[in-house]
Amino acid sequence: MSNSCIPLSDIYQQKINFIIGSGASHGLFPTLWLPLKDSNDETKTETLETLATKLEQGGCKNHLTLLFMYYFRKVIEPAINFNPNDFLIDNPCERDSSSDDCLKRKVLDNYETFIDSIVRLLQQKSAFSRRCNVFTTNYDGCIPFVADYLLKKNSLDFVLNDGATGFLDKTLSAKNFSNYVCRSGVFGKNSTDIPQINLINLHGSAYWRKSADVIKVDYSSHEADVVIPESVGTSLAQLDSVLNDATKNTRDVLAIDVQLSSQEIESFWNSYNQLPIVNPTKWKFHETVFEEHYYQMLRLLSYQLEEANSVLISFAFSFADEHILNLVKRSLSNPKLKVYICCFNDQEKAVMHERFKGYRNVELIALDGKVLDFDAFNETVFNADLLRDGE
Amino acid sequence: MSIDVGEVIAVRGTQVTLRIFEESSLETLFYEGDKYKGVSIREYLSIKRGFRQIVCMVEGEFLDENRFDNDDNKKQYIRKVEVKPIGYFEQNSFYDGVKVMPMIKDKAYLLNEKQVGQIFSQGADGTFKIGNMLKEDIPVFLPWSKIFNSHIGIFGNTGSGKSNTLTKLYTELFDSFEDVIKGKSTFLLIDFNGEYVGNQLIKDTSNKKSYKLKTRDDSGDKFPLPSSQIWNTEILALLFQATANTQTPFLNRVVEGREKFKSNPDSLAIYIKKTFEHCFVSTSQNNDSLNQLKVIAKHIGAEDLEEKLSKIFWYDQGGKFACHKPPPSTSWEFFDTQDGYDANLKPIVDTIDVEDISVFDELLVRINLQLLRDLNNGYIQYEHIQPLLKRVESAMTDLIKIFNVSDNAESPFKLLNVISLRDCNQATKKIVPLLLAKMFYQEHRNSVTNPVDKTLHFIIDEAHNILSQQSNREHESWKDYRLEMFEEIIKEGRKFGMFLTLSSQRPADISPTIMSQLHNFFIHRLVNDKDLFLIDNTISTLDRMSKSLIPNLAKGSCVVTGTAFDLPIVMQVDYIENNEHRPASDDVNLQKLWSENVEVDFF
Repeated sequence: MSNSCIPLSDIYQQKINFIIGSGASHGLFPTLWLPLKDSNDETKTETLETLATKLEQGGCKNHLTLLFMYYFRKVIEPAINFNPNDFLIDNPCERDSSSDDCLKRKVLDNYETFIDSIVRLLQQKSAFSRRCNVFTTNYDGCIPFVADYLLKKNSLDFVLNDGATGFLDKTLSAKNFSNYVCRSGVFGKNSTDIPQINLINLHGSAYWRKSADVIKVDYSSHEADVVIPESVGTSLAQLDSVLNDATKNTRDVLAIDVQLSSQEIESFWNSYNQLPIVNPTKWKFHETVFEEHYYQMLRLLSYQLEEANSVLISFAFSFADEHILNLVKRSLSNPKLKVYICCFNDQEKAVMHERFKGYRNVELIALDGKVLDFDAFNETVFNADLLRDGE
Repeated sequence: MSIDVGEVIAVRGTQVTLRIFEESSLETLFYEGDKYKGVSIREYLSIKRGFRQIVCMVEGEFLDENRFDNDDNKKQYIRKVEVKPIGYFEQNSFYDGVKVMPMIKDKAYLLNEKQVGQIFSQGADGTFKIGNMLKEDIPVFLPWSKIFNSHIGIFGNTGSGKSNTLTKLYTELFDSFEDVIKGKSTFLLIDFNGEYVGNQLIKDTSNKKSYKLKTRDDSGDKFPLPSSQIWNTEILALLFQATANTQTPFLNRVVEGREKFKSNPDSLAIYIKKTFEHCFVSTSQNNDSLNQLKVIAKHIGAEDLEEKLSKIFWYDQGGKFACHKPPPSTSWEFFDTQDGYDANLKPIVDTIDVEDISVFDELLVRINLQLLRDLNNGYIQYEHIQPLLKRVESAMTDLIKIFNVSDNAESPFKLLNVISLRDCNQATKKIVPLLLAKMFYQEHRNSVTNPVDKTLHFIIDEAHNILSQQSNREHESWKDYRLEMFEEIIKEGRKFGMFLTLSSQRPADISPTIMSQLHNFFIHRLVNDKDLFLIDNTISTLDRMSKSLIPNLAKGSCVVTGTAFDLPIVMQVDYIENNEHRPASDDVNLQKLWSENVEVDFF
């Protein structure tokens, strides 16, 4: 059940859904993957998820807190502080240059190609069904930023619906995903629809803030009040070096000396839990407002997959989140659903094969011997070049 | 099960009408991970009837005019399609033919790609693939065992991909089975345009031999011909287009005469000497015989004799041959008595040596000798045989250039033998295939056992060149003979394991008898009405839908039908990418041709 491309002609008439994981933004933001070895099984490596789970189950409160401080510093904060304008300006950047800026630029380029592909594909659909859903577990704002850039360039006509409405304050609501923009003639004699991409942040977003009992969306906000005491600086550096060392294992994490007062721990968690994001260990919102929206988004995913003639394409997503995995598995009983899972490499293919064993409507996409990164995804797997106008 | 797309609402004869549900108009549908094609023309549906699934092909679709008015007065149309049953699935295997008919309210389902593939790959073991189905893009596996023991016809206008199909068919065969069939079968390809003399078709080039025959000069390859084939009345008659009444019996006497004294060493030399003696010593000498004697002398390479003969003339008064005595004598020599012959000619004639004479020279000499004997015996009229002599002489000049006659008993033929007639003149192009067909057919028929233990495959590209009925230049009887030969092969050959593969751009030109005996057809685009008419009339297995496609087929796609297939398949034959394995019949690339040599010297 494996292949190396998603045939656009087969899927274009179906209801298209994407699920994008952290690998897509790799280069801009770190993924949850770590080189650190699992102390119980040397052949496996840890991820932030597995590590955090272990620490929590082991009752290592200090280390767990340190790990989340690390996580915040390393993953969340860069996403919050990310300013796409540093990279999206049309600066000449060699395609194969390996400078850090160029690599980051390349990620955004790939997002651009990806969105362009989706819109071209949507244009092929019949009238008033030109929409698709992009589910993502990333907190970063790559998709909205790139969409904004594309709209500014005025080269592509489409709508990105992030679920927010409003002018001064954009507030989020799941019902907004049902909105659909239709452009009608002045005299009402004709009407067309505009391709629409619904962006659904399954794990929250770095740009969401709670305000009274609604969620505000503010892409210009770059602050987060997470309290990380100065004193842990050395411990964090130590943790960083252990986590990124392939010769170390889980036990080495516990060996790190952490000095945190219970007050420091409490104030960190209090501020950290204000973030509208799902932790890598398990979903836990302390605010009912976020929790409700989270349920709504998951339900939306579930409903979409239950529809007839529906297609789900996963990219850079590992299905490590149990609840999303189970949700998708449940929907796989829908015989008219087709799921394409892009596997990063052969190892991941084996994992996915194990996860989706016995489901006939899952097709694994892998490039034999080559890694399926965003470049390869745009080039071979989901390639809409034939739909683009030659310029 | 699979996707339920509609239900039967009418059955009239074999015409079934279905009401189709909404979503089936999508191009592709997925069900449990399998891909299905939506309902459109020439797609396949299955209608469930008990434990059987009746497979139907969609022939047309329309919106029903009868609409029902809803409460809000909106018009709603029902999509209807007309389908025709073509076969059925029972216990997962497909059978063609209509056994049961659907009934009203029976549910219709889509067929997935695997099932569609199954319909068209019956009898095939999944190894022999030359292309994909045109519409479904599913690989088609051909039942090779049923195809290669039948006569195959490949037809299509020029440029429609015939040569590619022919090449692909045999390339695939040799790719899969080369080692196994070696020594059991022989393939003979008549190549009029020199398209297959490279590395085409075969995997191991040591199994292929190309003969590039050339009549223009002596530089071409020579085709090995066992001498037994030359000393065969039928072959000779064929080569020299001998008439049945007088010339063929004459040739027969030549062959039999040789056979009779074959065991005797020097039989030819003795025969020549005796004939010379006979001609000169005879009481009634014949003016015409001198010519023949000169030809004989020339072909046996006896220069002394030739010189002597050139001085001999006809002495009208005595009705005999005479010759000036060498100077200073002024008297004449006569040969009509034994003494005169012994004194004047015998010494020269006795030096004749025919040890190293070539087969063709021997043939010519023997024909002339036989003619002299027959004339002297009064068996024949000179006028009847003389045209034959002229033909023999003219044909001989060509034959010497293309044949290499040897007594070697061992067969020099490889698994695949390509005979290129590209550099041959028209007459040779017509004769050589016929000669080869006859030779190989006879030889094969004589040596084959029952049951057949070896096969012979005769492949003729551009077959209209030799199987045409339309040629006006040829003599009627000769044309009949030529066609009869092939008709015999095509009618009887199958029993002896001899199979023809014909490829032609003008099927209408080919004799209807031959056309009607072909078993399997690969039909590329044909636009000519005559061709289409013929195809329509000779191929019983072709259905209306597939036939209507023939004039519009794209390059490389063809309708495959015949006894090896239950249903006609429209397929796209894989293009042979490798330049070396493709027949040398590509279109001329004018862009390249005319853009090169741009640097013309203007000064």
